[in-house]
Order: sequence, then C-alpha cells, then structure tokens
Amino acid sequence: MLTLMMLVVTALAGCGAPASARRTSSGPQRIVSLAPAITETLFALGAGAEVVGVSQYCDYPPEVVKLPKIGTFLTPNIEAIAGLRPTIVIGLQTSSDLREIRALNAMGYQTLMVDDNSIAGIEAGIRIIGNAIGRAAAARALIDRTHLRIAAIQERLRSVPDRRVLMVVGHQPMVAVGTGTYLDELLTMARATNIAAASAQTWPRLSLEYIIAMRPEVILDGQMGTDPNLPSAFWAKYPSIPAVRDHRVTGYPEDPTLHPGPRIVQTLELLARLIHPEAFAHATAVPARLANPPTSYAIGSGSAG
Amino acid sequence: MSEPAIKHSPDAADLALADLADAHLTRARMALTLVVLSIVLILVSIIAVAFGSVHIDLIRAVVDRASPDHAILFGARLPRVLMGAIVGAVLAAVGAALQALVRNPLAEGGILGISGGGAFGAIVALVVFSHLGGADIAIPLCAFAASLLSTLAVYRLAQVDGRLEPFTLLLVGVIFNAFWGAAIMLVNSVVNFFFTHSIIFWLMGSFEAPTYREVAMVAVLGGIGFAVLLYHARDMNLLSLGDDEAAELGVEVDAVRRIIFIATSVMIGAAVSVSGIISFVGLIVPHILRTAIGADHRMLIPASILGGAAFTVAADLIARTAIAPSELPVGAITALCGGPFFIYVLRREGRKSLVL
Repeated sequence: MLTLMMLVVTALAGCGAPASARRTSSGPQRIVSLAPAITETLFALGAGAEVVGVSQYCDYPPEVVKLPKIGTFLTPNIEAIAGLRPTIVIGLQTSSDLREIRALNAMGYQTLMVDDNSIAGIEAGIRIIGNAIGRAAAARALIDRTHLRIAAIQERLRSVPDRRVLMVVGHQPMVAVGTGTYLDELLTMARATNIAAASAQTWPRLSLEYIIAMRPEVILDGQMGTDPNLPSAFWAKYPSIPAVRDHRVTGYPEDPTLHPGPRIVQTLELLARLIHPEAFAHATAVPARLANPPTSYAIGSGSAG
Repeated sequence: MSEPAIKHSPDAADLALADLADAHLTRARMALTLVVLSIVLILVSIIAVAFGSVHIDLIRAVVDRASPDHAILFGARLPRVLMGAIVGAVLAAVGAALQALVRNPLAEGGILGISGGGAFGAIVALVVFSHLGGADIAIPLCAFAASLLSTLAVYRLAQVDGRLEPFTLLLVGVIFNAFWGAAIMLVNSVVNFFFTHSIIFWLMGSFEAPTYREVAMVAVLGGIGFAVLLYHARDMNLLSLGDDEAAELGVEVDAVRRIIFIATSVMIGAAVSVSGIISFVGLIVPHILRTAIGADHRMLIPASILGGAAFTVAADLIARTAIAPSELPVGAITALCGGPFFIYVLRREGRKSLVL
C-alpha cells in the first residue's frame, strides 16, 4: 500500500512535464495512441507498424480499424493499455483524463501528452513525438512539407477578399469554432474573418440573433451528431443572411476537419475551397462578390464592441 | 373510505376552504392579482423583445422586411420570447397542480420523473436519427412519447390497491428521475463524444431557435391543459385537505387525480419536447405566489400561469444577454436565480409557507 502511494506521489510530482520518460527510446517501439490525431501522426511518421493499440475513434488511415482498441480518448482503459505492453503511450493534453495518465505513470509506463490547441502546438507535438520514437528526421520532413503546402494554398488566396465566416460544429446548442482553436487559425489562414471570434470562448454557444446581425458570407455547418439534411432547412428560415441568400451554406466532413493532426493542411485546403471557391476554379477567376461590411450592430454586453 | 358518504352542499366545501386559505377569495382580489401579474408579464415581455444579444432597431424591424433587424426580431427573438412564456406558464401551472395532487410542496414535473423521461427520449432519438435523417421531427415526438410513457409507468407503479397514493407517487417519481438521469449519462458515455453538447442541451434546457410550429404546438397542448386545471381548481383545494375530506365534500378523488395527472404529463411532455429540462420554475413560482396570495387554486393556477411566464421570459433574457454573443443554458439561470430567492422566501415565511 505504502509503495503504491509512493508511486502515485512520484507520478504526481512529474506530471507537470509533457513527457515522463522512464525508458530510453531506441529500437522498435510498442506504441499506444489515445487519439485519432496522434494515430495519424504516427502513421505519417512511418511508425504505423509500431502502433499496437488505438482509441475507439481512430479510423485513419484505414488499417488502424483492425488494431486493438483501448477505449475512448476521454476514458482510456488502463487495463487494456497495460495488456498491450506498450513502450510508450501518447495522447492529447486537452482531451485525456490526467488521472488515467497518472495511473499509467505509476505503473511504470512512459507517457507523452502533446498539445492540439494551436497549429504551433500541433507542429511541436509532431516534433516531440518524432523525438520520442526515434523518428526526428521524419518529423522535420513532415513539418517542412506541411509548411510548403500551406504556403502554396496561401499564395492562391493572395488576391481574394477576406470573407465573414461562421463555422458551426453543432446545432442545439449552436456551437461554433471560436478563438484559441487550431480551426480558428486555419480559418484566418483561409482568408476568413471568424464571426465567432467576438466571444472569448473557444467553442462558444453562439446566439442566433448575433449570427443574423453579423451577416456571415459563408456558413460552414458540420452538424455534428445530428441529421445531415438539417442545416439547409434550418438556415433557409433566415434569408437575410448573405450566406443563405447566396447559397453559401455548406457542410464539411468531420474527417479530417476535426482531426488536429498532420492532415491540418488538407483541412486548410478544404476550408479555403469552401470559403473562396473562385480562387480554385481557374487561374483567371476574379472574385465577383464584394464583401459587405456589417451594419452597425452593437453586442449586448459590450464585450466585443 | 373511497365512497363519498354524503354529498354536502357547495357551501360546506367553501367553508372548509375558508379555513384553508388565510384570506377569502373575492372577485375584486382575484381581478387585482391577475391584473398586476399580467402587467408584470407584459412589461417583462416588452423588455425581452427590445433587448437581446445584439441591438436592433424595432421600427426598422417592423417596417423593412428585408433588414436583418426584421429577421432577428421575427425569426429569432419573438418565437423565443413566446416559447419562454408558454413553457414557463406550463411548468408553473403544472407545479401548482401536482403540489396539490400529492399534497407536497416538492412536487413538480422534474421531481416526478416526467421531464427526465422526456429528455431521455429526446437524446435517444438524437443519437438514433442522426444517421437516418428526420431528426428534427423525431426528437420532439420521441421526447413527448417518452414523457407520457414515463408518466404512465410512474402512475401505475404508484397505485396501491387500485388507489393512487400521493407519497408512493412522489417516491416512485423521485426514483424514476434518478433512473432517467443515470440512463442519460449511460448513453452519453457510449455514444460519440460530439453528442455531449446536445445531451447537456437537453439536460439544462434552452429556448434556442424555436419554430413557430413548435410554439403553436406547445400553446395548443398547454392551453387545453390550463383549461383542465382551471376547471378542477376547486377540487384541488379540497384535495389539499386530504383524500377522505375531499371525498366527503363531493370530490371523486381518484377520477380527479387521474385527470389532473394525465393533463399535467401531456403539458410537461410538450414543454420538454421543445426545450429540454428547465428545472425550478414549477417549484419556485407556485410557492412564491402561494406565500403572496394564498393557496386557493382558483387563483393560484391562473396566477402561476402568468407568473411562470414572466419568470421564465426574464430568466431567458439573462441567458441570452449575460455573455453575449454566447448563450447560457436557461435551465442554469432559473436554478441559479430561483434557488436563493426560494430559500429567502422560505426562511422569511417560516413554517407557514410549507402549508399548502
């Protein structure tokens, strides 16, 4: 009992650091991934063969479906993980329950938690994972490739006007992509002005009145978890919204959009195509519409002016 | 016991009532109370229509049909205020009626497991129909059906020797309420993580983006319910005295209890199917009104309808504007504002307020 308590105390003492290395990483690894984005990173780094366990939500690349499941990223199953005898367990700081991670540390397993809140954090995560599994060069190459592709997309968008965009992740409640998320960063890169940025929350539950008042020019509606036909019927009730009037309400696939991993560049291209289709039609396409500035609406609480 | 001995004259019943309520109900007093509450409701509604998460020009909203102001007022704000008023009225009236029915000031739709059943139905429909389509119709229908089924089960299980026992009813309801809460949490832990927001939406309640069709549906079912409750208001007074006393005074106790129970469950089912679980309204509003105007249900029911509407519209105004442009769940506001106020009234009134 005393030994167990001491182990827990040791684990608690070390949990501030992103990684608690207990074994050196050399030779083939046995890796357990706690989140889809981590699994994707591992496969992108060429470590797919070393992945021995994934979360229930992991489905990319397709071969991971056959791998043993260790529970969801919110509630990983410690016994299932231990049963796979991993040399390292990798998860996301934001979505993993730290109690399970502490327990794994206490049992002597090496764990690594990376950030997925920002593009810089995702890139740092790729680098940290590369270092931890002995694939630092592959990680550097992956990040360089990503930068090149981002630059190419931004070059295409050089002459387009910024558009006011609302990116919805769910109805009832109406939850939007807000500031402090990698998706907000991608929207900005895709030459969008995120109307949800007026809220201080990262995933604000946005008021319908505010959405109508901000007159978004494009609405990207993911409609997570509910009827995929619902968004168009819902928005059709509000034809004063430019995006509705001009038929610029579109859905987006959950995969890869909501996977904060190496495919963020695909997500960026997807968002850019949805927000500025004319920039991808042909080289000479000229943006036809002018961006109408919103008429003077003040936000009730004055939090955003 | 269940057989009414002698049919007394209505005078005897009214004499019993005079004992019950500390004030006599006069036509003038009733009119005054209802006029005051109506004015409060109208004022609150005007404020709720005038203010929101964004400022709009009300004149432009009415005159210019193409303006965003028009879309905000008629597409977002007005249906929401109407829905808040109707659902609030339903919850408060149902609370007042159920409290008389089981002779316990803690009774309301949530405590009796009716709203929990409805929320569970909504959440199951949400998960099942997310892949099949038609979720917008299936969710309220399933919520409504599940509230009724839950009510039916509570009603059957609370019968002892063919009679509905108030205390058994309350206990069975409390157990059902806990059971549905657990069932919802179970669904939450097995379905995709992204459903969590929607599940909390049903648990905390919201008047977000209602359609006029939904408003009309709740208004019609609520209106029928109000009529039933008002018709039986005098019987509720007598039921508060006790089953045997009520039976002696000419109330067909079991029949009245059944009718009121069915009416209230239809009303709660309609409310939950569009707005989720909004707690405390059915508890606080009748209770505060009872301390102010007495326990005569001929006045308490209409007063609860008006007071519940005003309270809920005001709570939703806070939910819409407090952290604009983001929203708060209105169920959290009703509980946060109502809870302390409820305790205050309870402490001030002392033991007297516990008398129905």
